Amino acid sequence: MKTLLTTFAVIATGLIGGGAIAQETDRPDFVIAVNGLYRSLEPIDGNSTNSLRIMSNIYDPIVGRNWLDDPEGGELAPSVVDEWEQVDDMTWRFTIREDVKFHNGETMTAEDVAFTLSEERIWGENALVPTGTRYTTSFASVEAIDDTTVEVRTSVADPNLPYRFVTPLGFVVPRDYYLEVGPEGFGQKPIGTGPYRVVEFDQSSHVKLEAFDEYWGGTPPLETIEFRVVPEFSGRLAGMVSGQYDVMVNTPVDEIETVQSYEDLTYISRPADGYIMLAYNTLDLPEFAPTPTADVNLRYAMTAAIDRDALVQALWGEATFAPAPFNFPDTPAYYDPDVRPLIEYDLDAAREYLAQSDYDGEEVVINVVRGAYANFDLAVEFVAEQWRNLGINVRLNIVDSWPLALKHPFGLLNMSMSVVFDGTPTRAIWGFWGPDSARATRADDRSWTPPADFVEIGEQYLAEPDPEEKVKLFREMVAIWEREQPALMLWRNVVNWVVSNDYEWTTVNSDAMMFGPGFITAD
Amino acid sequence: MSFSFLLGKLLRFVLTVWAATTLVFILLRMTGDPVAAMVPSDAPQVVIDQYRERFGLGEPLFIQYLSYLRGILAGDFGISFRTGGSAWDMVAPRIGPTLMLTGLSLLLALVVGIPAGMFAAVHRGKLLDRFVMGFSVFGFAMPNFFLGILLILLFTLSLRVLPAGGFDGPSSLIMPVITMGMATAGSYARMTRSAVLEVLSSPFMRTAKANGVPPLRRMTHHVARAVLVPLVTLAGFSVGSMIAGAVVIETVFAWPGVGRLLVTSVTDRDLAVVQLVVILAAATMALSNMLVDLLYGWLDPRIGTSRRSGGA
Repeated sequence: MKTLLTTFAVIATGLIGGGAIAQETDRPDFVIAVNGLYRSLEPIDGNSTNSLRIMSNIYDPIVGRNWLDDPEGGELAPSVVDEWEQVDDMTWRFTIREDVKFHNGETMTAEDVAFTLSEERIWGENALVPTGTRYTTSFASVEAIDDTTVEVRTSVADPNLPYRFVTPLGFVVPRDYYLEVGPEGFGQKPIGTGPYRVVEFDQSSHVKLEAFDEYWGGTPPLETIEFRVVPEFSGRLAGMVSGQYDVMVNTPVDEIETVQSYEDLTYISRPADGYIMLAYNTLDLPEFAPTPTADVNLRYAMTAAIDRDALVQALWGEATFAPAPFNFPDTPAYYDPDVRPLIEYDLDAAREYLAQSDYDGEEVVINVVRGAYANFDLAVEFVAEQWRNLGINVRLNIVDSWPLALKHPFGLLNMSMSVVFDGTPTRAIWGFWGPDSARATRADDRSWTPPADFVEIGEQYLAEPDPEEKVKLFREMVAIWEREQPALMLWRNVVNWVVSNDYEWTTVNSDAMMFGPGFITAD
Repeated sequence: MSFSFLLGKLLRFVLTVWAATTLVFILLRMTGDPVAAMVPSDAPQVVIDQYRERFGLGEPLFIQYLSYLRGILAGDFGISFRTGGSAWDMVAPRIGPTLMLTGLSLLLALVVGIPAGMFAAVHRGKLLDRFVMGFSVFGFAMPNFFLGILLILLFTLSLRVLPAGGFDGPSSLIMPVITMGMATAGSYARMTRSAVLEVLSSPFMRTAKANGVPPLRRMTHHVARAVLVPLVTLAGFSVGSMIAGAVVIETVFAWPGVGRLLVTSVTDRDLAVVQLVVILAAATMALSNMLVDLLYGWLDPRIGTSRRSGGA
């Protein structure tokens, strides 16, 4: 009985105290309810939607983006490097700021910046984080040539190289500490130069950041930021309404009206960094099962049967759009608003393509990871029904984890394609579809072999320094891609947040949630 | 209690844990390549191969299994793919929060369920009995994730008196403990009621009543002892349901315990961590079953005698 009374006393004390964690400081403690956290905060190893939300507060990129004047962040801005110049076609030099401190108190050096981009860390044979090679194609050498200058040489002329350093590739890490703890250890206790330092990280519950008052870019406006895992939407919303949380992520589309009905909350939606699609399996792999989608006419029929504009409008309203393949407004020099897809929505044409194909009622399996992207499950139900109406025998194989989805046999597979790279669609068209891409090489879930003309033009595209010629070659690659139709492109990804009206927060067209100086103020 | 009896129980405990370990080791590797969960979906095969080599996943399955068993015997439960550190270091800090949650839930179930069941039995057929049994069926039938969400909607969204999730202080315990404890309390109440009714109709209770033993003394000295055996059985079973419940409750209430860790570890295919959590869960259940068996003999010596003489 004594134990029981003690327990009740403890609980009652908690009730009266309200469990508040706020401290009496000038700057607020800030709590963000997120659906999940990624396993690592190492910039490259941890490159995922759930970590990208956080990392801009921990790290600074070598080259910044002018987010405050342009929500697409298309214009470059100085960051921990305040000058850069192209010495010749293959060589760039970057001059670092001298007043930048890491969270462990050490001053950032040119050696740290060089290590961040180094062969040893990313692109060598036994690199520490080999997943970063997709950002470092054409790197030939990276070297600190004096105390403040880093020289990067490439194997082909690359006029857009500085753009690459706005990505997680450019998040500067401290060389000595990184080598001491290794990439996995660094991912758990990261050190950067950003406005907040990590004080706690537990992937299954929370990440807690604390203001770093030696930040070179000004005084961080928040005392602490906690990204707390609240998997259930109802839990996140309840915490927002009760004032326990200040921001929450991921509002399902059918709950937006509910969220908007609360006067103290503001719903914000923005286009994000990726494009959502369904990859067709174009390969005939008899060792697994017959693959009906290896027939290009069936792929044409399936694409032509989907009214993507209506689908996206129904799911997202005006929040996003259905792009023509690789015609992305976030790579402005390569974007043309008048471009239309080769295969547009046309049910009559879909029936004709189907008639021209060898399809004979075989099962077409669609592998989908449940909840992989917002609204995607609903979209897949819709497209599957459209294909059934056309006479295609589709079966949804909805699974709960990536390893279960990313394996043969399948006819289609969900995928998201990021364009964040260098201000061009190179990562999208070549990183995702080139001969060394996951789609072309992975033993368990490869889905296409790029045709010889695609590879040939792609190699010319990579080596081409002239911007206009590069755009022409890009268009030729897109034409071949559309001819082969290895995927159905659905929409530009959308990110949304609910924010307490106690704050004025500047959001950007990205998964990144920025809380550094200039981005947030308390009302 | 003989040495051979204890040795048999211990052997059964070890076999149970080994079987669970082996099963989860094989199943995890049959359900997709763990590297696929570790690398971005656009990572090419060459990167996948580098990670497989780094984590020893290129070895034949049997070699991996033997190496894992050897490690366990040396107290090494493997390396977490996510952190690069020991799996034990991932799990250990979360055992406390989970024990706090399940312990308080069990306590709540006991202090609500047993008295409620006793009252219902004593007032059999009356309004109080129906009320208690209605509550019991409600607690038993209501899925705990649904009850949890209802509590969040009521106490956080409408009344705004309790935090929705996480651990911000003792008040964060209230809703998860009620959610988990109520289902178990319902089972305890039903079991207690039927056990008490059975005892109340026994000849020795009629004798005690005829001898003028007061009602309270009859309940505490005769009934309570007699219902302990079925209740201990139920408590043994409820350890399993509480472990399963913790996975759900910790997800609904964002509780930083082993259940949440298990969910994220399965999603990320963090093999060593999943295996360790399963070993701990299996060991807990096997241990609770062993304790129940031992308690039987202590609570009712006839059970131990019957076993030794080969009876049921």
